[in-house]
Amino acid sequence: MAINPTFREVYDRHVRMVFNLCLNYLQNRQDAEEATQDVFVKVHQGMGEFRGEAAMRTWIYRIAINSCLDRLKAAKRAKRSVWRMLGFSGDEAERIAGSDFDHPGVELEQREATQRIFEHINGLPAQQKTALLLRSMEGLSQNEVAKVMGISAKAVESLLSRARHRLRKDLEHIEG
Amino acid sequence: MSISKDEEANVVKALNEMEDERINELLSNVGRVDTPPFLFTRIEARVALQNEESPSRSWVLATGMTLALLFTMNTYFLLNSSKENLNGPIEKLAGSLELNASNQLYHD
Repeated sequence: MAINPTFREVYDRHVRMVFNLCLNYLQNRQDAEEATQDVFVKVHQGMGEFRGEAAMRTWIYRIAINSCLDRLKAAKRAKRSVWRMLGFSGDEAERIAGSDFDHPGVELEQREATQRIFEHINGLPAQQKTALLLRSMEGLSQNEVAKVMGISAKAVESLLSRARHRLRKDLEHIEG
Repeated sequence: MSISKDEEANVVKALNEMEDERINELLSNVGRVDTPPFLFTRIEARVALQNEESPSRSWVLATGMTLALLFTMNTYFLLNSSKENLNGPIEKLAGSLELNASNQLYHD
């Protein structure tokens, strides 16, 4: 079966958004590229269900977030077991497992500070991390974030507030 | 000099806002990146591979219909043959002589 021409249009319209979201979520170029591939293979499979552009965008965002979460879980599990086999404790293995920072969007002079923020963002619960990245980095409104995450705008506000509170605390702890 | 609770809350709020701004500024400095070349070609290859691996809908439909047809024909012939067995001339003769026309070795 050949690639349908509508799929090419959908790809062209959304690929940059998907790739950058995956990059911000995974902070690794290779992983982001693979996750983007996963997303568009799934989009190709289920494309017939969508008509409206807004619904499709929300749906693609959801697929992208789920693909990133799956990839993160699988990678952490695999790395943790390797480091544990090499004799590292659970905490050490956890720390090493999440240390492949390779984000091409971060400038060299800000790399250290940005990497530190991302490390703390990665420590947030998945829902808080998703809400924060969609709001602060993707620039979605609170209502759009709510639609993508399938929760109420009030719940998004609460997730964002808890995420920011925790980030402030973590950063104070490091700097203070 | 002591400060009221309201003033204290305001100071904390302002500090929190400053900290949030700092975090937002760092995050907003992360630039948007162009997609890698040949990404679409790789996706196309994966879609093609997946299509090869999974049978097409028409094949699944044709197999299903063939199986259904076989099952229907089997049932039809079985029912008809059992009716013929009961009403055939040999069965009638055997019945009148109180014999059993079945060629099964163990029958009631």
